[in-house]
Amino acid sequence: MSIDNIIYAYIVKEEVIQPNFTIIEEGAKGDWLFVVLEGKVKVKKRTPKGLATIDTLGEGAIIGEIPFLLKTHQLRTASVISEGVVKLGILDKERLEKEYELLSQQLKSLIKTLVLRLKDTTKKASLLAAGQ
Amino acid sequence: MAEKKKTPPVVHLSYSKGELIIKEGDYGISIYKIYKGHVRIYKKSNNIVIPLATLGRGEVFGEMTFFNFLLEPRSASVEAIDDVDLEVWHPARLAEEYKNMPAILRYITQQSLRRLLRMNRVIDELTSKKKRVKEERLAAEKKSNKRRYYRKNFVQECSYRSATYSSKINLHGLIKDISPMGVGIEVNARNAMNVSHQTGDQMKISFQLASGGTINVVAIIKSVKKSKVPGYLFLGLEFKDISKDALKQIGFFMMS
Repeated sequence: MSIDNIIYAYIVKEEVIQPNFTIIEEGAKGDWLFVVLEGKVKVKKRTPKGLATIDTLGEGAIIGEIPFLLKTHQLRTASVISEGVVKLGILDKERLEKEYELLSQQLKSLIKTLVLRLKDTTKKASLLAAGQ
Repeated sequence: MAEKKKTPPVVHLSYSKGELIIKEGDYGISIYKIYKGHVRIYKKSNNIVIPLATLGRGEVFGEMTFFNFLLEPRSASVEAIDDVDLEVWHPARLAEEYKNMPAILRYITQQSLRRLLRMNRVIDELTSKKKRVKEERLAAEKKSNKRRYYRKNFVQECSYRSATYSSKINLHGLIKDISPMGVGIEVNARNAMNVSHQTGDQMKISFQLASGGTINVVAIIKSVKKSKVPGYLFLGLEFKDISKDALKQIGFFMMS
């Protein structure tokens, strides 16, 4: 996936992350949004049977969108760990927030519903993956 | 305050308990918000109902079709659990707004949708894998002549006698577990000296359940093991001739 100029316009800071670094920790507070500019990250979730890797994301992937879009649940729903060296872009959260707030109530609840489903489904998938 | 988007007129619909609101596979474009009551979302696979979620007041459904650009049929069915009042949104104006919203928000939303669809596929794959593993295990157990299914532990005296050989000798045993498929009985090893207790032998068994009903069945010995109690054997038996009434009674007993 190539990274659109749309996204570059929102990057306020770039950071280079060393391999195996925990970029986001599940359960921690925070609603910063990142975009993966180079490299790959693993998404991991805690389950009763241990840590389950549920996804690997590459260039162009936005991470941290769930707490950002849900607002009410600002805890991180999964951990994100760099696989190799990763270049991250930090997105302009305030600007995004302002633009999001301008959407109609209905469209916002549709997006929120989608993200809630993603959260639930990810949880379900990680439990199944850990049970294997 | 920036310009406030006008909310278009909203249609309200009511459904009674048990009524179908969305049918999986149908083409529909409406989006629903629950105003009152609860709905159940489910999918059907090989005629098996897979419950997905229960939603209540304030929650929205029908969003998947919207984000899939109205191209896909409904991915699940939705049924009213009680009396339900819904707000129905027509997607035309929302689709317009979605098209015109800042590109980055659309990018984030599309990515969430793709991840959701991927997670759904992962769940489908893992569930069918799990099912396959279970089926293989059951098939393997069947092959090894073991008794299948959940067994309920209980201790109950029973009398039995051979159905393979015409024998008048009534023997005594202790039922240790039961399922609709068979029983596990602990017997004195001396019993096997008088009457054959081999795998494949058939026994007429008579016992009582807590409900008071007497059960008479014919069962085949599937396994003979040494019991934990010295001098005793543990017989695994599978029902062969069993009346519907007896099965029903055992079924009730299993649930109690």
